[in-house]
Amino acid sequence: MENLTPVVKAAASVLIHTPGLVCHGSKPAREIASDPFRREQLRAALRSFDAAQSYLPNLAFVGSRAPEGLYDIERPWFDHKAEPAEGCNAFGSIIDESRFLALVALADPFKNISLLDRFWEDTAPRLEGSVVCRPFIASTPGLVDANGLKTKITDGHGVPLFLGAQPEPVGWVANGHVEDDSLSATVLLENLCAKVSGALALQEIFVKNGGSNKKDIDLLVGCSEEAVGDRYQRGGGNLAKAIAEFGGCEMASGFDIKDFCAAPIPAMVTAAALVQAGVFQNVLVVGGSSLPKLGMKFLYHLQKRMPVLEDMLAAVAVWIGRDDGQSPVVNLAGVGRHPVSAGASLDQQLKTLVVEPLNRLDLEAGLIDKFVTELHNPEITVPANGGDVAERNYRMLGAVLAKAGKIRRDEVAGFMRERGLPGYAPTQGHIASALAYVPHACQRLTRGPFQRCLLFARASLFLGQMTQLSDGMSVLLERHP
Amino acid sequence: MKLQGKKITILGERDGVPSHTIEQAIEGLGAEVVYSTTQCFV
Repeated sequence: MENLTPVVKAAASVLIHTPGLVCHGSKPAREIASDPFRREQLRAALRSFDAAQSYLPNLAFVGSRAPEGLYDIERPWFDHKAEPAEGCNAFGSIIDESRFLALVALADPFKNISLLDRFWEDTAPRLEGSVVCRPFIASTPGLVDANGLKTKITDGHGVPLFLGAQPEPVGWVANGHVEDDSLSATVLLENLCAKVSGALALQEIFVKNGGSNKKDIDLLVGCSEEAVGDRYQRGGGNLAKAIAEFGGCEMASGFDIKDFCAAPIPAMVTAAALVQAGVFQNVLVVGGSSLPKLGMKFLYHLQKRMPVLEDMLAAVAVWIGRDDGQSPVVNLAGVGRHPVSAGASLDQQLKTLVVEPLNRLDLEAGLIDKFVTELHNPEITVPANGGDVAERNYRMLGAVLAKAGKIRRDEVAGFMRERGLPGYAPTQGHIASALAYVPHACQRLTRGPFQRCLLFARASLFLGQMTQLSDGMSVLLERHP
Repeated sequence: MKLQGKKITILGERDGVPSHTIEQAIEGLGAEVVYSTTQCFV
């Protein structure tokens, strides 16, 4: 009898510093369209790659530092010069924008992207020099000379690609269809960024786990935020299969799971259930980046004379497979869901996602080493009057657990430091929603002291105006017995 | 608080109380909800 217990065999994360793409974020693009001077203000507040590489929350994201270290470092963190994350981090790389733009062009099978020929000549050797980027160079991207690029810009019907704060574009994204807004240049760019970043996270899994074979992967489950589709089916989906193809998982099929920012948890649950049911042996859950969320709060950052900190794309990949005798177990008996009848307030959500599974498994809160939820970097959200999201969640969770008798009332004040985490993830929605911590959780549940981590995420369904409801899901990861 | 005849703008927050819940809470108190939204800041 085969042991079908699902385990997390590996997890990886990547960050990509994309200051030149910030102008294509939803908020900056709208602001620049209404006031072109905003573009100059934005450019003047962009960070260098060195600054992004030495930014403490970024180092926590890629595993160079423990997130908890941020508790003891006074903000502003962007003024704190840490050692840059050069080369090799525990969970993945920090990629610079020039290499990323080159990969985005390489990942575009319909050649809607044209790169300036000089830019490609400069960047191609740097792709070759990167163990993570090298496998993606299987073709040549669409290229254009300086005069051709000027002509494209003059003709319109697309958007320019910039490198950092440089005023001259290094490429062009053409609309994919003359009448289809679902295939506009901006949408295609969003989708391609999610595809490439997801493929980079996938690649990091295999770079960090030598000897593993991409041909062993049966399925990719996508949990990126981009829908991907055309005018007749805007959310057609299956970015996962495009990532599998670009990432070299030639035996894999794929599909996407949509649930706003909560999608990674149902994606992990689905992947684990498919393994436990014996349908597939090896499933990769991949969350690619969210371009629309770049610069989401840039006006506040300009107002506060801060660098525009939402200049990072992020992606995470999680490999779920059959029991290998050592990797953390995905305990499907501990899945929490948010039923329609539960109500939309935060305390009701936390009861269904946290208290109910603990009751079902007869676990006290003290047996959970980390409750992992939305880990948005507060240095981004607090100046924008959005508050400290992680702190707010843990304060409410502590109160809910105390009311349920899971912790003592005198433990509420210290609950976040004891059982929670500080925010450190870029405001990339689904990535910040517990998924960012999975590489840390795996490390601590194997080589570290942890026994259990409860991951939970919430989805603001009401934003789509189909319901007033929210959603959410939780899942328990346990040390291998 | 007397809400009879008042025009009400409701700003809900997804980490707190959603606007829809506030709307339900003041239903029948005679106020006119002229705008209601729930914000998601991330």
